Amino acid sequence: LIQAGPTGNVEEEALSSLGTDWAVNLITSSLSPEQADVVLLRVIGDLDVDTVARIVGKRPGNVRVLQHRALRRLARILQREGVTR
Amino acid sequence: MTDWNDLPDEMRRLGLDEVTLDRLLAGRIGPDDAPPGYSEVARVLSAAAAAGEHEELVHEAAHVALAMELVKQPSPASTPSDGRSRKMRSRSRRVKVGGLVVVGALVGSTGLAAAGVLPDAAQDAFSMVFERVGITVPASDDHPASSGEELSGIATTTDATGMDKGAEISSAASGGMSQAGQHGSAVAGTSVERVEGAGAARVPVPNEGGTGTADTASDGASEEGTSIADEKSEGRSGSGSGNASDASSALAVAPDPPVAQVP
Repeated sequence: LIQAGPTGNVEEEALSSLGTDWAVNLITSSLSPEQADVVLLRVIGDLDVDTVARIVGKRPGNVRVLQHRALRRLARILQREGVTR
Repeated sequence: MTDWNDLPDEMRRLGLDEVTLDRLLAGRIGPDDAPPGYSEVARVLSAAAAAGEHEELVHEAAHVALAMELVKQPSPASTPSDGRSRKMRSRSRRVKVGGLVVVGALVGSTGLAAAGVLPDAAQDAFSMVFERVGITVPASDDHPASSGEELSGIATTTDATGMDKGAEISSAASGGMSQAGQHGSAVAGTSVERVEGAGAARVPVPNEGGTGTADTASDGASEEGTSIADEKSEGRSGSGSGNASDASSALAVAPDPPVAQVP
């Protein structure tokens, strides 16, 4: 049984959930654990750099570099392999 | 990255300014508006960010549990035993305050992760992230029991009794975050065993064997003193002692103990 989520549209929710799963799996499988932690906390957690830095025990500057490298790596992987959903 | 001062240079080399990067991470830049080479990244981040749009499912209890987990985390500066302890304690306090600030910020999806209500992949990813930083968050196949009916079913069908039963129900309700019953110990005869589901007794529970203990420790002087007090008070001392004993038994089983009525 699929329950309707925030939009109340079951089909839309199912598609959205699939997209979310795909994106999160791509992030966790493509990035290093440190990069994935930072990106997930920033993207899904909607946390700012300072907060993420406290959680992962790094300086804010290190977190910024980690997220820059993470996005560059994601871009490289997506361009090289193409996007298949 | 070789040095702290190299960070701005490195970020410039990576080709994204900080504002654009923040907007990408917030899922606010669509594929069409993304910088060259980042359109698919924007699509991925927007899709991932959608996991945080379940805010109507926010679970207050889970926030509190997560907050407590964060504050409980041992700080990097553990208490030293040498002369530098004041400076180190100061740093430890700052880390604790930092933890509280983090708690204040965790009103978004991280709370949802603790509540176990994110989509499965996001939930598992968050469990993994938080496990790495020392916080236990339920995984996707570990959702807490969400209804009283479900909890009631556990309560009526489990074979566990007493403290174990309470711990099982508490654990189901909290998605495994509760530690009820894991630290309990029968320290006061049968008194603790009467409190079903209680974990560690945080307050001393009256000991039924107190008089005997005092008498043994005082080589009989306690019993003699008790007799004299009872005799001098024309029996009131013994009556008061009996009332107090009755009240101490009630304290072990009732959350709001009745006041002992001493004549």
